[in-house]
Amino acid sequence: MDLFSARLRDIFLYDSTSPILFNSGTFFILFLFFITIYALIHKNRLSVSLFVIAFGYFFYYKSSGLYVILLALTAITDFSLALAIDKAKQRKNKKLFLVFGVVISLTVLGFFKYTNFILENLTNFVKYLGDFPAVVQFIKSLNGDVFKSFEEIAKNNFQLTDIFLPIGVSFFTFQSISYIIEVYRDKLPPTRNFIDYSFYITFFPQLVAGPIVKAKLFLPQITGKINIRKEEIWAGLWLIMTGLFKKAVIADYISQYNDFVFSAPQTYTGYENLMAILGYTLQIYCDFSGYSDMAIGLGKIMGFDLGINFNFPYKSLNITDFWRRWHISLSTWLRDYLYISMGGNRKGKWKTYRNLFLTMFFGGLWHGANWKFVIWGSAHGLALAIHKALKSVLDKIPDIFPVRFTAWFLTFAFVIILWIFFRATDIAENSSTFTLPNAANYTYISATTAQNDSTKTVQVYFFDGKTPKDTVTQIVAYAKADKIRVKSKINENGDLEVTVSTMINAYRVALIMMKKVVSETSIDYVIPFWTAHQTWMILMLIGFLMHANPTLWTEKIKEIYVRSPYIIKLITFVIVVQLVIQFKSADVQPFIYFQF
Amino acid sequence: MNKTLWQFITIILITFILFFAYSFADFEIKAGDITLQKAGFKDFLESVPTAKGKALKNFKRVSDTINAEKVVTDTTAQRILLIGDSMLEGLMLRLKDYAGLNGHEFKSVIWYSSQSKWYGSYDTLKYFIRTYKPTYVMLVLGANELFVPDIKTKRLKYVKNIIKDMDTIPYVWVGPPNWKDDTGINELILENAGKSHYFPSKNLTYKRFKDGAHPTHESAAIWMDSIASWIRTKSTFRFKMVQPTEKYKGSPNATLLQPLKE
Repeated sequence: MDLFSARLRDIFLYDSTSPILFNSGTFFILFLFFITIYALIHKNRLSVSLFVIAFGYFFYYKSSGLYVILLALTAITDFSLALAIDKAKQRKNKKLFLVFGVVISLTVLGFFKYTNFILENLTNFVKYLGDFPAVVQFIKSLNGDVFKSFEEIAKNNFQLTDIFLPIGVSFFTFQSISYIIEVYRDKLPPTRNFIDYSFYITFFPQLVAGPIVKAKLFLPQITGKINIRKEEIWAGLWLIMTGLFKKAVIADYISQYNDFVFSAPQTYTGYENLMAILGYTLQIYCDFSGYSDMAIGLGKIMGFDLGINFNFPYKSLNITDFWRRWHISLSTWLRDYLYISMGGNRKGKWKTYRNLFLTMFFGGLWHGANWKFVIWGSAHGLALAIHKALKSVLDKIPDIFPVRFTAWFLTFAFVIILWIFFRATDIAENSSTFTLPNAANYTYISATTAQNDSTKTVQVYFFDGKTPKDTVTQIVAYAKADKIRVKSKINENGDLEVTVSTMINAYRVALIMMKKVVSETSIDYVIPFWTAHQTWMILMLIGFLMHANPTLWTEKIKEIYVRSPYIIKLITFVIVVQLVIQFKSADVQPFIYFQF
Repeated sequence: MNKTLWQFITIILITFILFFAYSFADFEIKAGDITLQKAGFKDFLESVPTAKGKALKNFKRVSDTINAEKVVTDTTAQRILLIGDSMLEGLMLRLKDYAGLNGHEFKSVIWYSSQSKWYGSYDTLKYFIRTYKPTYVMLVLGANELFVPDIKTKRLKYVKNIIKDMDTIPYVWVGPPNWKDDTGINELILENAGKSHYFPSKNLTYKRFKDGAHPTHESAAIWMDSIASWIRTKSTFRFKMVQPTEKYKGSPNATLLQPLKE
């Protein structure tokens, strides 16, 4: 009985170490129950709505635990604000409600996603200011108290490191914002039925990882009768299978090699680095588009159209084309609600370029609270602006194969190079661990560094509860380091285990990889690499071939599947599931886009 | 009633039944060299619940009972079986010196790319224990599963099987020399083997080969010195492991096993 109840707990209770994924066994079991009940009640509009909402909340609870309350509060707030916007007679009042709603949504998003980022940068900035006494004096003369508190932050290296990022908060917040903006712009009448709105916000296929379905596309679908068409069910199953294959077979498997190289690129050859970069290029596409396919497929089977999210993005011939094909639901959201709100292309060419740049700057920031995402987004913004500026010239170049090939190559190379910055993380170069007996006696204060010739000395300070001043408990010396990371945990004996690592920062990691590829890539490694990583290479080839496949063929294959006999559909599905299991034994990676 | 929707449900249901049944089957289906892997339903239903997250600190571990074990010091020569993954390549070179000085015999078995899942599923460990008859086993395993998510559920059964295979033979499970934080393999070993059978290699700093993972021979020698020191001072089964100052000639007696084709 204990075992049985433990298994039930595993299925129904939240576990922070394994949020639910579409390609997990738990979801398979839950979905089987869900779709059976759905099939029984789908003609009763109210029952099905309440059931899908309840399942949506449960699904979110399985992903983020009690932060499910945040989802409910978001739904209540924006539903009410949309009604208030509609009811307000004066434009300025409508605007007031809109601004209020957007600010609330962005504050929630900002708190969970960007608090640490802001504090970290504030800390660094104040530390940096400390190097300029004249500036310090000047600011103190303006407002000494403010600066004093900043100094405290800097001195204590204050960071709220344990803020949990609820999964999917970036997605449902953006959906919610799209709804109130559409109502404000009079492009969508507000729904007066809270159940309908909750259905939209909590619809589980797209709840935690998109696509970001706009209210004007989705809400009209839930007011009428749910129409589940035969072709859509089989097209949905096809999408689930292709999504499973892309996410759970290709992306998860090839990620393992990529992770090895990205965590220590300096130890690999140029060719191996090149393969990892190409590997990540395919991985991120298969991971995200695969998950989107599954979401869209589930939606289709339930009778809902969630649009498309990827349209063979690596076939793009220019960067504008790329953003029309990559994460379409996000790029159209940014276009409709950010780019257009800033004036779009209506206020002259320079403001158009500025708007493009800023849109992608914020788009980059949406992906994560890290400067590398900002740089990635900004570079894309800059490229979009340059392409816009040169468009009239580029359009005059003849549309012949060599030109198209060059355009494709340049676009692909640009996208790949930026993926390196997107993926690279700070990596530990050297680590040293020491233990302080009885953890309860110590409070970590800070770690300071001092440069002495070629050696960097790290002093780790702990407060031992007795000595009034900071106590230097350990000094570690390293040669060269971009930065230092101090991690401590209480070990099994109750002692404090402190690990000090010298880190190579993400930008340098990216540069190391590029330098390796440019200066050390040799054809001599092609055969040994193939011999050592055959499965990896085969999956890479399959992945890129699936992507390079002409769009018409892809549609044709889907149509053949949709029209195929029942037994073929069953066998194909069994084969795909077996493939997932086969490759799952080689260990699964978490879904990349959960971090956003 | 939507007939197609029910057809779809039967596809999901039949697939579920097939994989559920296969996961409980006592046979394996092979297609050429490839064995069709089973879904994890059986493991999921039969695995013993483990404490998760912060509760671990207060969770009574196997290691808590270690103090009750009697410390044994054996001064006689040992037959050591050094078995595990490729990480032991460097260790065996130094263990040769220890064996030479202290009069022990040893045999190495390197199963390339191996994981707890392999040793816990097949009788490789049992086979070498039966044929070599060691008086002490040094198991070096875990480096190929540093990043397995939910490892405490996925690998618990295999870790338990391995420990069961040790039977009454004194052993140490040398944890992996982490080059990145692991997802729980070290905790899993510690929780099941206990403190007196677990050497935390992750706490050492290594110089590594170009692959970024395997310690250099020089670094592996220091690693082996630390394990020897642990055997002398912290293990419940202690034996003579005086640190050698010179290298002993000869090649280690090693059996190399190729990776499984999964």
